[in-house]
Amino acid sequence: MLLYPERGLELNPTAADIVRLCTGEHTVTEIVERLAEKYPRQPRPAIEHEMEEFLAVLAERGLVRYER
Amino acid sequence: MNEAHRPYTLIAELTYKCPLRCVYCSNPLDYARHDREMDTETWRRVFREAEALGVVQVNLTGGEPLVRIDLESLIEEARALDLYTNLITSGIPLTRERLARFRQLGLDAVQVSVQDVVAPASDRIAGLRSFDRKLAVARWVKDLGFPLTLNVVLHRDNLGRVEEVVALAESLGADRLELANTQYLGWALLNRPALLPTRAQLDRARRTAAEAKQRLKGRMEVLFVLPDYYSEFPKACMDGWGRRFILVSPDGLALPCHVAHTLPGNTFENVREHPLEEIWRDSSGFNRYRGEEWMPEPCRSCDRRAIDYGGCRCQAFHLTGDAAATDPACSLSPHHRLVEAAREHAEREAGRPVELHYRATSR
Repeated sequence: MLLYPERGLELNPTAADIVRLCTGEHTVTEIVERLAEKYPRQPRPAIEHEMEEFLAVLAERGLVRYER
Repeated sequence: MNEAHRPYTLIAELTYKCPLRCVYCSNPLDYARHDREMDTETWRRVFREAEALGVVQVNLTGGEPLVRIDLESLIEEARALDLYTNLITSGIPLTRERLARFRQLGLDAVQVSVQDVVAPASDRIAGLRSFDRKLAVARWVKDLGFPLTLNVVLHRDNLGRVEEVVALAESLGADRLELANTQYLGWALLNRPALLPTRAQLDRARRTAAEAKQRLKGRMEVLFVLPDYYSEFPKACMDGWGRRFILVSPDGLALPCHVAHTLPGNTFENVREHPLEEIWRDSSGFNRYRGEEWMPEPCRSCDRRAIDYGGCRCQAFHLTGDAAATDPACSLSPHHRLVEAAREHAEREAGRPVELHYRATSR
């Protein structure tokens, strides 16, 4: 669960993996690569798509900042 | 009760005392009768019991939580339990030093309320000269590195200034702006003739808020809480009765919401006498409006019953006299006429000054 002022987001396991890697040390591409390693059965475009959508949700709420 | 009922948030109303006298205060009208405040140790135990029950967030609120001299100790306990800890405050009375101490002790976030964008209007609603001090507090919050939520309750006299409210929030560097339309319960219901806006006012404000939300995406989260007097369907009050929130009142009652103890015929237990877990699971008050068994028509056969849970029980009671009625804010409610009449009154009386009833102990 990702907690922020007066709210919380319940995360599925992949989303939780993504949040854990959003430490400021990894690029978006690196995080996708890590996920691809961890979930070898997932097609890479699907991972990229999920990553893209999820980061947008987080960014919209001001919970992450990232560059493309 | 089942997994659908798991509390995430403890609303800790540490005291009903407050130096402000806001005309829409969410405390019950008879708050002064509940003056036997719980001591530090009992609150700390309540935090531990809440955490064991699955709670992940605690809102330290009131009244004004800052008047508790043991707030430091409570923040410390919440931190030790790894609860995300929010201070919900008017900002008065506070020093920068005390706020810095809260930061050191692990307080996570601060919500500061202002009543308007200029001192005279804000102070008029608060019943106290406080606006400038509140702005100072909001700046300290940011300086000290907390996330800042700015909360502004909206009503007919400030709805026209949403643009200025947004500008104020931006100038303070707020991370979240809560534009909360007044909920007409307690003091706000008493003052409804002075507070309820017209539909035109509301629509304008909503458009302004939507534009700001779009423009500020990623920098500031703008929340516009729709007033249910002007929506077709009611809100899922508290995300449903006894589902996600436990509120503990200053004198220790465990409640599903801020004013549940104003509903007659319910029993709510005191955390001084019962463990929180037992109350959450077994309390007849908590179980009263869980699930769908209690629902009358038109809720019972309505597609939306799992979305809004029949709306607000307190609003149902305070408008119709029956806490188990469909929320009259719902356009399908047989009592919806009561809400329409209030809206018509707001249209007719728009712009005419109305006397305010300030929060006071004598009521």
